[in-house]
Amino acid sequence: MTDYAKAREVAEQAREKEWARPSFGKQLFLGDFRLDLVHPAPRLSEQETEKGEEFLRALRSFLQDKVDPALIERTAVIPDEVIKGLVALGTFGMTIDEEYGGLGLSHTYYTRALQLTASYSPALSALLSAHQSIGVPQPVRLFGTPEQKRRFLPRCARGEISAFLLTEPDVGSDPARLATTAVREGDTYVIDGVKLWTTNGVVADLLVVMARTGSKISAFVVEADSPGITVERRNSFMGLRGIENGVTRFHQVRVPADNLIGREGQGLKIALTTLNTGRLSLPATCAGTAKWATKIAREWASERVQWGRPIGEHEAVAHKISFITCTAYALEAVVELAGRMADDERNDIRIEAALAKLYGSEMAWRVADELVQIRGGRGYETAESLHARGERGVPAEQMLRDLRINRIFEGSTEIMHLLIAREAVDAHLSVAGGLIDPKADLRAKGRAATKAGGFYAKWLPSLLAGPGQLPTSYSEFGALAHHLRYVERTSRKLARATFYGMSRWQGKLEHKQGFLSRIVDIGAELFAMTAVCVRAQEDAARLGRRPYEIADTFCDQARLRAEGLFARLWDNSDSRDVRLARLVLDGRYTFVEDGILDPSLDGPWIAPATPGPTEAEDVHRHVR
Amino acid sequence: MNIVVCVKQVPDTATERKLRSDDKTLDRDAADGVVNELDEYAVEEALRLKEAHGGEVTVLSMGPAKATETIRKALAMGADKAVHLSDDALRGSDALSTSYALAETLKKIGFDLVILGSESTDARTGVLAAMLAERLGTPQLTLANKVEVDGSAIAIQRVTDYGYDKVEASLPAVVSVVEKINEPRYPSFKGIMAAKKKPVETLAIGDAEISADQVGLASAWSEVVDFAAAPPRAAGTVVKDEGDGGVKAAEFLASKKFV
Repeated sequence: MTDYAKAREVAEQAREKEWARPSFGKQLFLGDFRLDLVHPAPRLSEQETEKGEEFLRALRSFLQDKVDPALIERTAVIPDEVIKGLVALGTFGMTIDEEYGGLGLSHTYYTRALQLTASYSPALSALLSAHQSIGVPQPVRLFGTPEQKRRFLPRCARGEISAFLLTEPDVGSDPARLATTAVREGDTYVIDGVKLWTTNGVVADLLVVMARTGSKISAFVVEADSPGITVERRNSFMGLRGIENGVTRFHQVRVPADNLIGREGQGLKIALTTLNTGRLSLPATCAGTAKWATKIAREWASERVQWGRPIGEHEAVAHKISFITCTAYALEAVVELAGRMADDERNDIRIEAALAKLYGSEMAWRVADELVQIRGGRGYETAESLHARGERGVPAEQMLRDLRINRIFEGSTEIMHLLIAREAVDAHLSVAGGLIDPKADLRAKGRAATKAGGFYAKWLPSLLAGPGQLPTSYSEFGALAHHLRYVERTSRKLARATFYGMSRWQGKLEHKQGFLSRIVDIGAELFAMTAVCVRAQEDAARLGRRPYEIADTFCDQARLRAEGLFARLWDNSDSRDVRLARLVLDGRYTFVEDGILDPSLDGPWIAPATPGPTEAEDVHRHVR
Repeated sequence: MNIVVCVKQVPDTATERKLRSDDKTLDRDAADGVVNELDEYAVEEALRLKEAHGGEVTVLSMGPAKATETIRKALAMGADKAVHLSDDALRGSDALSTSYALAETLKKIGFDLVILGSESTDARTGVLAAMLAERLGTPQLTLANKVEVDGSAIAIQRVTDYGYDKVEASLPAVVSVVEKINEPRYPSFKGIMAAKKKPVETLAIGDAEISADQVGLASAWSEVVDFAAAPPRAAGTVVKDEGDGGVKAAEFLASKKFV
């Protein structure tokens, strides 16, 4: 088997294949716009709302009173006192059930708490979400035995910090290359290997470690001060300067067999399932930053005068302010809708959460970039420097740096495209899989064709007409109804395009990453438009016409983006790019690099992660 | 041990605080009300003593209806119950009448130990602990940065300009604390939720047998005759160092009689 085939097989095994509950996202990609699944958006009980609001108030006053985000940025450390205060408040157990000593907050309020925290100090929200969304609490909650829950969850709720260790120097998006091993010896497993980018790992008390047991990957809860564990480095980054992220070496680390989560070989599935809802935390932080950017853009653009008027009245800046404001409202709408659906548990939200992560991280980055542009030279200047010379210390450049990682971690944008595309075309693959499998023989293809024929005979005609063509559809949305009709029509157009792509490229479709990414990005715009319209209609009861105005403009912007993506589905430079890139890699165009000097420091591209005892000093520390 | 902590709501020190132009009392609507910071140390100390010796912590606050926020905060930190002395007749009370009203209430609710912050960040008289002790006929142990209780004996370390005094007394007693005494806990979310259900007894002056003619603005022994905003800070003197900076700085300090 080739490396590619191996990697693909591992990824395929980890996929959750069952669709026990309805999925708005999946139907959207099939051209079936199920507004009924998301509208009216599910609501929390009064009791849960009251509890959540009270918690947000407490968290807000804690942040205000006890946290100095500029200090975290300057020293690149979250002070122990801040962590202890967050622990005392209960923030380390936001998502943990009350039964295990946590606060048992809803997803909705968990994401709102992260949104609030991220708007103030992104490093803090990274600490909290790494601990709860991917660290020990989430996989143990979903896959742990009752005994494991009793052992670990109360500790996590009490503020023992957890980290999730999957990445290795040679393993990023491709877990098939995982080199860390766990070998069973009697009642224990012996773990050897090196893990990289261990957010929270430097200060962790408990770790989730992904290690190979035979040919498959398993997940373990590991005590961070077990003999043989060394935190060899604390890394520093472009942004999120306060995060405790390092390199952790495992040398003959003995872990009780009781600490295996789920069964042997279930590790990647556990990781991906954890992320199904865990992925909502990251777009929540993106929405928080975008909302903050809206505040700064408004205040600055009305205060700053150039050429005789506030800069916000100059058209070039006005475009940016409109974009920032509409996008902030939309990102919150997306996270809020997905969070409420997660609480409601009637829908499968894996596609919505993945779309939220993809869309949130990309759009928030653009928002922060535009904010820096509006702020001009001040946008590029650090908050500390601005403040030192007597101006308001607005950390625009910091927010830009802090946001950048969101497009990379917890599934890079490119991986998210493929992951969502895989789910989006799944319905096609499951009926037409044999038809387009290049290795299937003729008989198999014949069987597949009969099966697929039945599906497509019913499905294809349904793509030709729908409520989006009736001018009276969705009239309860008033001025926004035409946007929902667009979403309905366009979801059918999207499904037709996907079907066309499949029949054109068949088995090769999975390599058409340009095509697939555009399909997914169009889906993301349609989901965002839906979320915004649903949100605006709900908010109108409280806020009058104003949410409609934002939603209307956001939908105009999103439609233009979607139309641009449609145009580039068929008119693009994809194949020329692929050809040229291959020649670049072959060294054909190195003359382009003439006349420069490379400032990189010496070293191999990828450090060898040789197993064995450490040669480094342990920089692990406990916050207690 | 039955501990009562006196807690006052004061205007947030981080905002601009004002007096009312009509009767020259504090303008409570001009700023957010927060717990007097020194009282947080008092609550913390009370909770620590309760944790060490058992008993119960009651919060006592005198103030308008809005002061319930402050009471809830102290309850969220872990106090067991609260008494809120609230009556329009109390508005404008000075330190003497405040101590009278609180003392009457304390007599009614009973106590082994009364703890309060050494002063409030609004009025800053710093005399309430002494006045309370006098009115209650108990020992006063003020400005404590350490409190130890052993049976019915209490000892404190009193912060003075020259070092520490060790002061001992027997319970019941009144103690005031300084900010060096401890690090007040931040209320946990569970504490905040639990505080909503804790009993808060609201008393009017009649309930505590406080006579109306001894409290309030009209009965105050002191009066604010006039007030003015502090003048804006003038530019400082810059001493430029041309080799003789040290001498010039010393001369400046000498001219102001600092050295």
